[in-house]
Order: sequence, then structure tokens, then C-alpha cells
Amino acid sequence: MTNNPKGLSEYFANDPPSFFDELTNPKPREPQSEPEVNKPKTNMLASTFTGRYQPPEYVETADDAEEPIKVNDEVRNLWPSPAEQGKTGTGAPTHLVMPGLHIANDLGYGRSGQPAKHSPHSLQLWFTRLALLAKLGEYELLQAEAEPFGQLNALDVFYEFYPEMYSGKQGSIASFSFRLLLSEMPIYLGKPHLALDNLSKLHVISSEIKQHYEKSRNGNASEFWQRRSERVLHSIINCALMMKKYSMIDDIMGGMLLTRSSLSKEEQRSLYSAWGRIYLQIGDIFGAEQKFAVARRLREINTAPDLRDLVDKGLIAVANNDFPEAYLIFQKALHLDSGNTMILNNMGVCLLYAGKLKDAINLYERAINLNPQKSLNESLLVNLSTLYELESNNSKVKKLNLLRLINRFKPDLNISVEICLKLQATN
Amino acid sequence: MNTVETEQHLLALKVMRLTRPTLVGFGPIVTCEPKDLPQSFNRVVENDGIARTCAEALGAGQTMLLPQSFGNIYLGETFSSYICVHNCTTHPVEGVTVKVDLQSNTSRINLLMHENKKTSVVLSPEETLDDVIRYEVKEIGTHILVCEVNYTTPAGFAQSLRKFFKFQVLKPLDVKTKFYNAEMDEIYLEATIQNVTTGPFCLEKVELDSSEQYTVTSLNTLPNGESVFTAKNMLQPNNSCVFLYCIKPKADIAKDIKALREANNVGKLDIVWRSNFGEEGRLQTSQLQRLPFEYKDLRLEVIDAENIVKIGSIFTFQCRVTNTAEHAMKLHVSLETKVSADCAYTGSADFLLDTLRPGEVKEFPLSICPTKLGLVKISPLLLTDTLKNEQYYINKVVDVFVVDADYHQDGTFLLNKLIRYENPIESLMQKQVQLQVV
Repeated sequence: MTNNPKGLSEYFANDPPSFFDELTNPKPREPQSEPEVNKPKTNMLASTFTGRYQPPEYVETADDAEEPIKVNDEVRNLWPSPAEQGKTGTGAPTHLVMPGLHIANDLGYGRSGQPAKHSPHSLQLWFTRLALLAKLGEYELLQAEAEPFGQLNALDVFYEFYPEMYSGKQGSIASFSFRLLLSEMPIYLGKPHLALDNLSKLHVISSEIKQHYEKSRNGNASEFWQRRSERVLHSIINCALMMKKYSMIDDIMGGMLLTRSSLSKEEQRSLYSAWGRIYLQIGDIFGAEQKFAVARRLREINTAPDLRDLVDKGLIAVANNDFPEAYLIFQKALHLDSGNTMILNNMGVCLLYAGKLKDAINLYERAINLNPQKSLNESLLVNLSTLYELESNNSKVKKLNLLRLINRFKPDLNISVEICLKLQATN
Repeated sequence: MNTVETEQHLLALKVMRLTRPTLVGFGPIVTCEPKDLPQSFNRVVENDGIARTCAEALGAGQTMLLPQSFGNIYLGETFSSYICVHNCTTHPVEGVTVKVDLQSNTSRINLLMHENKKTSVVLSPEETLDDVIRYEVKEIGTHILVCEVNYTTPAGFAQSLRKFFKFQVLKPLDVKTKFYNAEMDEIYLEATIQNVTTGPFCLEKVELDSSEQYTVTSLNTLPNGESVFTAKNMLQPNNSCVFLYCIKPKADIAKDIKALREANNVGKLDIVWRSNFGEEGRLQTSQLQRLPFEYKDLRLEVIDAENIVKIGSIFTFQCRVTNTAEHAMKLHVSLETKVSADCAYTGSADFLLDTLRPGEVKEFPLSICPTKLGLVKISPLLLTDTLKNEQYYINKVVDVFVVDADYHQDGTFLLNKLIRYENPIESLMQKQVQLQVV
């Protein structure tokens, strides 16, 4: 550690305004309704940047009310540092070499390819970028850019590594969500077994931290970590789904996720409903009905079936090969939430299986006309393109029309346009 | 499907196999905590309609996606396909008829579209004639879907447009059976069902439909009515599941040894399974043949015996011997106990029965005292016909489960009847079973 704080400040003082500054800029608000905008801001905003050195700061949400459990930074950042685990044997930790081009230029200002240090801010930016890449389905790029981070087990993503910067502060600079994203990444690349390994490690550590707080009787913190470990379990289930390990899903669902006493009824319902859908996928209608029934019973007594109940019921009808019935149920659900794309999408599928191709196409086209932004999603596009191909030899013209709409309303699909519109098809 | 394209036509014929839709979620699930980012990623999730609370990260979606490939089709499943004829000209086309046939190696079946509609129609420009056809495939091997569209050109010429789609029907499951002949005319059937498809499926129904001479008890549920299999009857590819059935001859047949010998058909296995999103398949086996009852000259049954006894108490079981030979017998019964540390019971018997005429039955009790815990096999029993001086060794007489003195029987400990295997090696042979569509 030869760098001194001065060197670091120079490094950040040269930061030009970047694309990410805008991204992290909270939406402009009316001063009278939001008095806190007058408070001194610590954000690295291009507008507030006056040339004076500002310490690199983590951009926080102005409104933290949506956080279900409030904990302090110490609890949030707790993570076993590799030094504690006795992994220092490899010598001095390697500084990360900034990968990629765009962001490295922003951050390093022409220092791309040179060693750089991490800060909460830089890691937050990295997480943002990598998460957005995942969202956009740019998995190859994501893999390349995430590669230097490994599983965030290097010493330099911990506060302890920079005593001169963060005196006394301990824990991980990289957020838990960042760790989760890197662990999950192999799922996107079609290697769920690798992701499963990563996620299992993540789950073990988060459970240990949870137990640590449980022992020290810090109820809030243990609940906080409990939820994190549950979030990891969700990802493990997603791996298991890809690997078709259905008994593992059963064990996790019944034995771990549904055992927490503080689960709200709505949370339980959504878990049971998801569980039922997993059963449906393997053809266990009886099992699915049982899970859906539990979800239904957890609803407030004397209330009408809600969207979830109706969708569950509709999917059961589909599994029973009763597409006209399923259509009617989805139609009922649409009355509860008109314009719901998922339901419109499912209604179209039912129409086709009931022998009503034209009606299905009309339904989708109407949905797109009513709300192009919402309706032009990946699954509806694939379905509509499939219908166009089945209908006639003129599907190309119609797909071209869809392409125009996508260009206008929805440029960032997370599956490539070629796949969504089935452009590889021969007609 | 392999398509054979023909020259330019006024009508376009489109065919799509309708396998079940798949359930998908909305894109990659990336989440973050409120403190991580100034703006949450979770907004996209709202599109899914239902506010996913804690299950928001689960990939079990609710959105149905139409099939994107032909997929596999298995014997016993229903082949359904969408047929669409489209008028791609700017003028009406008259006399349009569609004929769809499914050709297999041995048969050709005509599949009807629009069963209630008249035979020929006029298609206006951009109009379609379309419907779903369904057929339960009853044969393994190559099938060809032959679609033929006939119409009349404006000039009045009859035109025909044909398309062929070739596909293979595969075998979904392997069924193997094992029979055991037990005491009291009971037969036990073990049926092993193996998933030989490429994906998991769920066995919805596996039933043995008994023939007229037999009654069947399924032994695949626990006393509380639940299946003995964990949570569900899901079978991963190449995995198998074993089902057990107890088969008994009906009273009138059980009495008649001759009829019993002739009643070889015990029944058929009826199997219903569901795979991807409830895709259903059903198959039936051919008539299952039980092993012949091998009574040579006499038949020993244990008609009453405890399943479980406590150690140190006397275990008494009731035996019934039938003379199935053509001559009278005077039997000497001898239960020997080897005097060794290995022997799990003590007690012996040595007595003479009254003369048994052919077909006559005699009952007698035997008692032993178990000295070891666990499953104790009582063997051998030596029956000697003193008239002809012939010896009959009964190698397995009865088994009993010996428990400790403080044992309490509860509901879960419901053991089945005691089984004596007559010809262990032969009866253990597994038999491959032919499958057919019902």
C-alpha cells in the first residue's frame, strides 16, 4: 500500500462529468414539497462539482423509506474479509485492472488498463453497469467485464484494506447485491451448476452472519440477514429450475423459505403460488392445485378472488387442456387489472389453442395499440411473431411493422430483436 | 418437421404443432437493495401485473409462451396441430377443401377439420381457413402428416397443394414386472416404471385393472391415504418407480384349485402421466400373466400368523396343508431347530397328522419362541408322507418380525402379509411388458 490519500484525490479530481452522473442524479423535485433538497448534498453530481476536491461518495437514495428493515452500515457491510479467513498467504492483493472501455475512461480518465483502487462510489458504479448489462441481456460483455472482480474475495474490496481512507471502518465495500449478481452470472451463461456453487457459498456466509446476530441478540440485524440469505435461496431455486432439480426446490421451499415466522400472508401466498407453478411445469396438476389452494386460503376471508387466484386458476385450466375455460378465467382477471400485459398475452395463447388464430392476432395488436410501451415485451413479441408466421406468407411485412414500433417505444429489449421477432425464420 | 415445398399457389398452407405452451418470467431477474442504487431495478417487475413480494426473485413466471419447436412426441400422447390455409391473392378463391391424414407404418387416419362445417368454402382475400386437429398416437415409429388443399382457380382449373410433415413417435416408458406367489393364494406384483423420455414427468395414475378372476389391492399408499412416494410422483429421465400390488383370486376361484391353475391373466396396468405443463399421455400394458402356482403334491399355507411378536413370547401360527396329489397321504410334520448360536428361535415340533385323502385339507398350529430381534425366518419344515415315504422340504414357512419387549405398535407400522417365496430364483425374474394405447 504505497498510495497516499493525496494521490487518490488527484485521481478523482480529474473526473469529468460522466453519463453515470446523470443516471445517479435524483429526479428534480419541487423545493416546497421536498425540503431535504436544501440539505448539503454529498453526491458526486456534475452540477455541484466546483473543481474543489470532493471525497468520492456513495450515492444514496434520498428516500430510504422503502427499506423494510433499517440497519446501520456496520450490519449492512459485514462480510468475512479474506484476511480473516487466513487467505493472505498469496501475498499482497492485486489491484484490479479496470476492464472495459467506456466506464474505465470515465473513472480512470485515460488510465484504462492501469491499477485502480476501489471506493464505495466506484463499486457502486460498477455494480450499476454490470446489473444493467445483465438486464439488457448483454451476457458476453457482462462476463468479460465482471471477470476481474472474481467473487469479490480480494482484500481490496474491504474497508480494512484502506485504513488511511476509512479509519476504523470495517466490512465489504462491495454491496451484497453486487456479490449476488456475480454469483448468479453463470446462470445467464447457461452454467447453472457453477452459479449453484457460488450461491451455496454465499448462502452459507449469510446464514452464519445471521446466526452471529441472533446470538448477540440483535434481532433487527439477524432479520436483515435472514432476508438476504432468503434472497440467495431464490436464486438457488432459479438454478435448480434450470437444472430440473425439482426435489431440491421442494426442500428449499418447504424446509427453508416458508418456515420464517415473520412472513406476511402476502409473501406466503406469492411463494405458494410460485411453488404451484413449478409443479405445473412438470405436469403435477394435483400438487399444483394443493399449493394454489394454500395460497387461496391465505387470502383475507370474505374477499373476492384476486388477480393471483384467477391467474393460478387459469393456468390449471391450461394444464387440463381446457383452453376456452382458461380464456374465460383470464378474461375475468383482466377486469381486475385492465391492460395487464401478462394476462392479455395468456389470453392470446388460449385463443390459438381454441382454434381462433385471427382473434389471437387481433387481441395482441389491440394490446400493442393501447399501450405500446408495456405490451411490446419479449414474450408477447415472440408469440405474435409466431402467430404471424402461422397465419400467412406475409409475416415479414407485419414483423417489420413491429420492428418500427419497437424502435419507437421499446428500444431496450432484454432479448435480441432477431429472436423476439423470429427474424431467422424462413418466411 | 420436414416440409416439401411446391410451386406457387393461390393459397398458403401453414402447419404448427401445438405442444403445451411454456411458462416464462420477465427477463433476467436482477435485484438490488434500496440502499445499493439511487433507483431500483425492480420497476420492470411491475409489468408482470402481480406485485411479487418476496417471491419476486423466483423464476417461476406466469406468462405463457407459444411452442417454438416441434419437440418430441411419445406413444400415448395426443398429437395436436394447427392447420391454417390463407388466401394470399387479391381475389376470392373458390372450392377450398382441406384434407389432413396421419400416415403411420401400418395405418392412415383421416383427421377432420371443422367437423360441423360444409365441405367446400370460398376464401376471400386475406381470409383463412384454420382449425386445430388432434389425434392420440397409437404407434411407435415414423408418422407423416399429409395435408392436402384443393381449390379452384379463377379460370376454373382444379388445383391441389400438398405438404408433408414427417416425425417420429417415441417410447415414453419402460414397464417391467415381477410376480411373487405368496401364502393364501396371494400374488404380489411389483411393477417398475421407468421414464425413458428426455424430460421429467409425473405419474398421475398407475392402476392395476384386475381381470374377472382376481381382486387387486394397491399397496402404494400409507394408512393416511398419502402416496408412499415423497411429495409427488415425479420421475426424472431414466429414473424408475416401483409400484406394488396384492392380487387375490376371487372366493369362488380360490376354492377350486383347477380353476385357479387356469386363471393366468391377472389384469392390465393402466398408466397416465403428465409432462410439460400438463401434457397428458396414457398407456395400458397387455394382460399380465402370473406365475403358475407350483403345487406338486401338497400345498402348505400359513393362514393365521402375527406379523410382529415381542421377544421372549411364544409365536404361534396356523398352518393349512392341502393334499393336491392323486393319492392319499399320511403326513408327519417335523419342525427342526438347529442347535446353534445362529438360530433365531427355539422350539420344535414332531407329530403325525391323520390321513389326508386327495383334495382334503388339514390345519394345525406350530409354535416357536424367538430369541433374536429383527426379521426371523422360520425354516425348514419337513413334511414326510409316511405312506409313500416321500419327503417335502418347505424352505420358507413364515417370517416374523421380532421386536423388543417395550415395543408399541403404531399406525405407521402396518406390515403386509407374510410372504413365502416358493421358487425364489425363477419368480425373481423380471419380465418386460408390451405397451399399448387404450
